[in-house]
Amino acid sequence: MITLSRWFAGEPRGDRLAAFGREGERSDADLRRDVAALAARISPAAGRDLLLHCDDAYAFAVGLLACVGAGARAVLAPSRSPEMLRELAQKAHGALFDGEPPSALADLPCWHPLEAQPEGAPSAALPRLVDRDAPLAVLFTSGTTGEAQRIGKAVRHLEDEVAVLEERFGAQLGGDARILATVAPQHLYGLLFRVLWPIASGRAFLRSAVLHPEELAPHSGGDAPFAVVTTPVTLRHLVERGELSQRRASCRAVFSSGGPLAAELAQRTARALGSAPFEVYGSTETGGVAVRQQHSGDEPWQPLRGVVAESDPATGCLAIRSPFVSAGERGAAGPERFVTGDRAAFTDTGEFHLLGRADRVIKVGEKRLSLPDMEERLRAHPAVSDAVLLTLGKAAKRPRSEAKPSEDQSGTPRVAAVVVPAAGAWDALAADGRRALARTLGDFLAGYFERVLLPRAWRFAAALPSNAQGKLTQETLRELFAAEAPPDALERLGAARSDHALELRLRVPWDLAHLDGHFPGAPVVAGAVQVHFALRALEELIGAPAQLAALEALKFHDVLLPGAELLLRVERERDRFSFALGDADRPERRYASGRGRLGLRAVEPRAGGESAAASVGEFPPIAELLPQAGAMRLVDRVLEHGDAGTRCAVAPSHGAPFRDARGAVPAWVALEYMAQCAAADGSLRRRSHGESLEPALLVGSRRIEFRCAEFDPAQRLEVTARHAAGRRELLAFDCAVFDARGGAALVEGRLNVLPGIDGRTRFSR
Amino acid sequence: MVSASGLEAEIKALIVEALALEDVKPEEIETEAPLFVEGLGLDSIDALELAMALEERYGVAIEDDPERNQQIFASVSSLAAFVADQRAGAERANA
Repeated sequence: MITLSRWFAGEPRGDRLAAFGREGERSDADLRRDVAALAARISPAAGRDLLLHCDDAYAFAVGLLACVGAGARAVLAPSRSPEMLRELAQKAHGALFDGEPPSALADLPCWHPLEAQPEGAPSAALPRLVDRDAPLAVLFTSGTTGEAQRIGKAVRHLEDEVAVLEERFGAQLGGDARILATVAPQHLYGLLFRVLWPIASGRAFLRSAVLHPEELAPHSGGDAPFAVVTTPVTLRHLVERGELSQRRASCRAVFSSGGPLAAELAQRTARALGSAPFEVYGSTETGGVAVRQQHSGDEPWQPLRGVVAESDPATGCLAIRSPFVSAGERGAAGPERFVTGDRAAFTDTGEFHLLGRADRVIKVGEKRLSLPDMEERLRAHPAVSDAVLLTLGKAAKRPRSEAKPSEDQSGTPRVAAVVVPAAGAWDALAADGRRALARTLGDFLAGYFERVLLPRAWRFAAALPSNAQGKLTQETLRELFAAEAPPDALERLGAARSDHALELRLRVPWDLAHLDGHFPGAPVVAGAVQVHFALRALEELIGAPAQLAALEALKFHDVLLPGAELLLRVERERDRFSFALGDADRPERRYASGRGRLGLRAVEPRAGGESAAASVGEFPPIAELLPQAGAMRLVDRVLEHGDAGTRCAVAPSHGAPFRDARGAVPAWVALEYMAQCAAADGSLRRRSHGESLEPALLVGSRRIEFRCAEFDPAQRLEVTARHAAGRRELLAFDCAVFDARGGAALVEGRLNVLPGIDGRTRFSR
Repeated sequence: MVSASGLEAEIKALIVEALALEDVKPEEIETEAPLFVEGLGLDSIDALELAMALEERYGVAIEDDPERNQQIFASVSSLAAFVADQRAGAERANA
């Protein structure tokens, strides 16, 4: 062990592996050289605040240690969200990032911690000893209970905790265990377990941001012993896939933190590995507090050495005094005390049981309601696998500005429930819908609670939604209720991002708005809907609306049904992007893929002018021509049909499920207008030959060009489709979307359609 | 009459154009290399589109015969042989 304050006095060890992974191996000597080189580049930096965010844990370690060596304080940006970075940049003097520096930091000097330096570049003279009271880093709370807070940590807070961890677990791990962490280094758990503890104890750590549990295996270094540092959410994936059990002999320990670990999962992990995971209880403010291993599920928490856990007389909550506590941005000089929001019951030996959050006993009207009690009842219902309750603030019908503020505040919080149905309950949910299951569960709860206390809003999800750190937060839960209208989003089960890529684990809810009428009785997620969610994810990645110039090589490989769990990956490099949507568990099963270009050159739709929308001839109502119905029937009627193709009017309410907060419909929805116009063209042709209507499948498009970013719902649009090529199983249609007032095509491209979903093809698909 | 190597070059250009392949130049496609999975890495949707493009360009007819089609679509050279064969057949029929 070498403590952080003495680390710079250590001898470089070229023979000791410090970090490994796809990015390459680095020895202890490499680490020291890289730290000295970076410290020279950022100097003078004493007393300055430098933003630090790296996906590569080794680059992160170099950045952090260079800050320590140069006397700077590292501000650990919790994410790369542009809004967050812009805000943090105002208070920072520079930034250390791997990858391309985000544009939000354009005004700051930026360094890549691992940028190659010319031979003979200066390296800084580093202090051999670092002041234990020197401020080391600013972390951000995870927002489990509300807004993220800045928490400052001095060198001593972290090195003292590392020493206690090594004392408690060092023998269990052995000196040679490799550390495989799935948690980000910028949060306290990852900072300690993924970076600082391995460096201090001479254990090698995995560099890459591990996106998938399955990536753990190939990087764990053959049969090298290893320890896993993870969260309950990721641990569940790991155990369910059985990858840990294959490597059971080499696994020395599993650590879980970031949320409560279900007793059932702890026991499954124990069966798979021979020993139960070490659960770590703590927070950004308190640092590590206590540890336990669940065998029966009722084991008390054992405080770490140096931690005093007691009941706070004023609140009845758990209070912590320890050398690791630092609850403000400038940590106090001496030991601090921090009162958590958790209720606890103590045993005679100073251990404790957690009883849930104190703020989870709420008042509804004059009645008190314990949310944990109601959750426990819900979980006892046979249709429920897991459940969590939250409050949504005041009733939706908020009085307008004339209301007195005091009235607003005295309103009653609405209780809302997020339920993970039991395996057998999905069929009922699919058949009878969300409301029916909510009513069943409400009636069940009414046997134990007064009606006034029952949840007012319900959401059903495949898993409780967690954020990038695998934590269940109020924010991720509230997102499920953001829209009171029918849900128009996929359920988010997980997310991982870097500068260039965003990867989302998603589930298609049975009541997704885009399944309304697509198709009646046979729900299928339309290709355009898949593109829609991919491009929304692209917008999240770039932090701005996608100004789409073109979509290319668009392919729909397989039929996507509700209930499917998906992995969506979007990548972006300058103005090019690509996406791939596949099954979350079987990567070979693909649903959609494509690429495209940003950098729209918009044309103005011609103003004024008369509509060219007069019908040419009488055509059957669109309902007889298209299998689509409900919200997903986007074209309204046929205006013209002949050898040159078909022209349709787009319904005035077009694209309702696709609208953004401002009501605008993104231009890529034109893909569905085109597909429906092509389908109408096909139907009219089959009718003229006396053949019956047959659903067609959109296979893709080589190229679609865009000359507008979005449509106004009030805008009158027309779409044309002309059969351009193909005779049997694959038909190509040249399509375009126009403003009904005329002007150049707003969207234009060739669509490939497979007529007849079950149609035999000359190639197996 | 296009020579065999001329036809192969035409088909390579057609593949790149019809499938909007990115970062692939026609001359980089190997005449004998597999088109699907390995080699160029095309998939079943590409196969459908390529069949459509071949029918449009050369007026050939590709039948419902998965085994035969696997041979035809094995490589650029097998595609070129198929197109040349079909055309020769058409010329004999017209003669």
